[in-house]
Amino acid sequence: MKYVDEFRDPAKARVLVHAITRRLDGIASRRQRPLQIMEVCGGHTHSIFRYGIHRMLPSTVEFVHGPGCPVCVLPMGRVDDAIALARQPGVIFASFGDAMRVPGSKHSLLQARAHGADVRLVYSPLDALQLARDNPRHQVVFFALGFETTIPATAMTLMQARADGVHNFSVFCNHITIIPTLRAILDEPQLQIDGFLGPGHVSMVIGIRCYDFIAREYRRPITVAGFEPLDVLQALAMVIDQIADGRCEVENQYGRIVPEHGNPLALAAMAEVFEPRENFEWRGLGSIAHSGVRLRAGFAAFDAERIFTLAHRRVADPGDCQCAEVLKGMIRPPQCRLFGGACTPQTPLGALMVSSEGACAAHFRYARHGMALPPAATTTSAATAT
Amino acid sequence: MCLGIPGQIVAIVDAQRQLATVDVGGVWRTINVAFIVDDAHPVHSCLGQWVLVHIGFAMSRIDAQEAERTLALLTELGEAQAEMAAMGEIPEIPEIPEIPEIPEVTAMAAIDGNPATDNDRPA
Repeated sequence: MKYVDEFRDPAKARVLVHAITRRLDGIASRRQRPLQIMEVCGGHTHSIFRYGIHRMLPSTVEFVHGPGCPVCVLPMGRVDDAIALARQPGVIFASFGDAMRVPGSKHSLLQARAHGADVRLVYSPLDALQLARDNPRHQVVFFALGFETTIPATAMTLMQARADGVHNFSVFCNHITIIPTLRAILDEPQLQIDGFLGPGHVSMVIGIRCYDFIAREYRRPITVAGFEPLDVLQALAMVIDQIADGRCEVENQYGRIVPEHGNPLALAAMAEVFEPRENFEWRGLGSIAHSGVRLRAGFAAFDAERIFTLAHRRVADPGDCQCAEVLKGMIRPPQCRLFGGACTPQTPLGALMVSSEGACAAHFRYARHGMALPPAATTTSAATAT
Repeated sequence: MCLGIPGQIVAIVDAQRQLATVDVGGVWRTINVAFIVDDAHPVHSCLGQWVLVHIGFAMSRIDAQEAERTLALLTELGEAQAEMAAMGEIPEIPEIPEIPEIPEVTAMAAIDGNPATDNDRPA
């Protein structure tokens, strides 16, 4: 497939690994510990494990898995609210596939569906809007999740719903934004991150200048990266070059997709429909100011949080669950007490084990037994990303 | 969640509603192109364009020159390494594990960019 296959060329990967190794050897004498590079996006986490990129590299560099998996950071209380909505009489609840298994305090959406709730799997918010057109006697609620990559699609769908007068459609908005989250991570005193791989598809919407503060205020290099193996390796090489040269800049490895200033049309749609929330709760990271968005007053008629009464209950993660430490990069997935025992992709306790982009699920699937490949029958996605 | 996949626009379905047909690895689907269309780039300019598809929307026009530039840089780097290795300046490029072949994608998952795998899918 064009723009995919050529970025998986093993010969070029070998060249990059060689370049990275030499550069790391060159700075080894200056360093006490391995370089810690955070890949912000869950799509990168998935690529790293899926292609075994971490195993091609010398031990002097380590990936720290970032928070860029919207399903993984969704707090249990929001899942409970989603299930409560799905159980309302007359409601069709439309969700992306990877939100179906996320555990709430008692059930997941998948279990709620087994118990009779009308939960439908959709691939696009536009499919949810079509469900509303096709089912005029039902209220169709779309479970909106995701970072800036996904927010414009929800925004455009809501603008269409309003323009076409589809009044039985609403959105349960759990959209989150990356910049306040990165700032929260950078403010974490225990964190020892030397550089970042920036999220490729979020950046295609918001551009790369939003990351200037990382280089200027926090003195960390960041390279926005694509999702194929050569993209990840090349971006890593660029970050390591910056560290070796003592530079802290915002660089863009993914120029074929990411324009410097993002997508102005997508940004305009986002701004028209959504506004920042004062705070939004993240699983593992707690409450982060201005990290979530909600529908503007002009779209109140389409806002499930205003149409329905929700419990908004905060639910603590299970006592033994160490998702928070994994999310902050303080421990690695196998170091969690529950990893691979009580918590597996089949019976996840923590959200990091649910989504294929979650650090624990990726680790469990691809890295647990040192296997290079997942069983062929169980892998369906091609190009991953945030 | 932020998964996206390249595809080529092969037909305009409805110019007014900004809908087009995209070909992703041989599978066709209707997507919305509103985010890559403006006065300077009308709907019909999308024909033949490679785009990044995310949950039913074209989110970016793929810059072919940038893609070539990225790959050309890697080719040059490889040639420079080979030359230096031949001159004995640096060690031979070592073998690394092969990048594993990736199983065939499910067309719908590929197009729609939904990362749900194995058990997440409904029966």
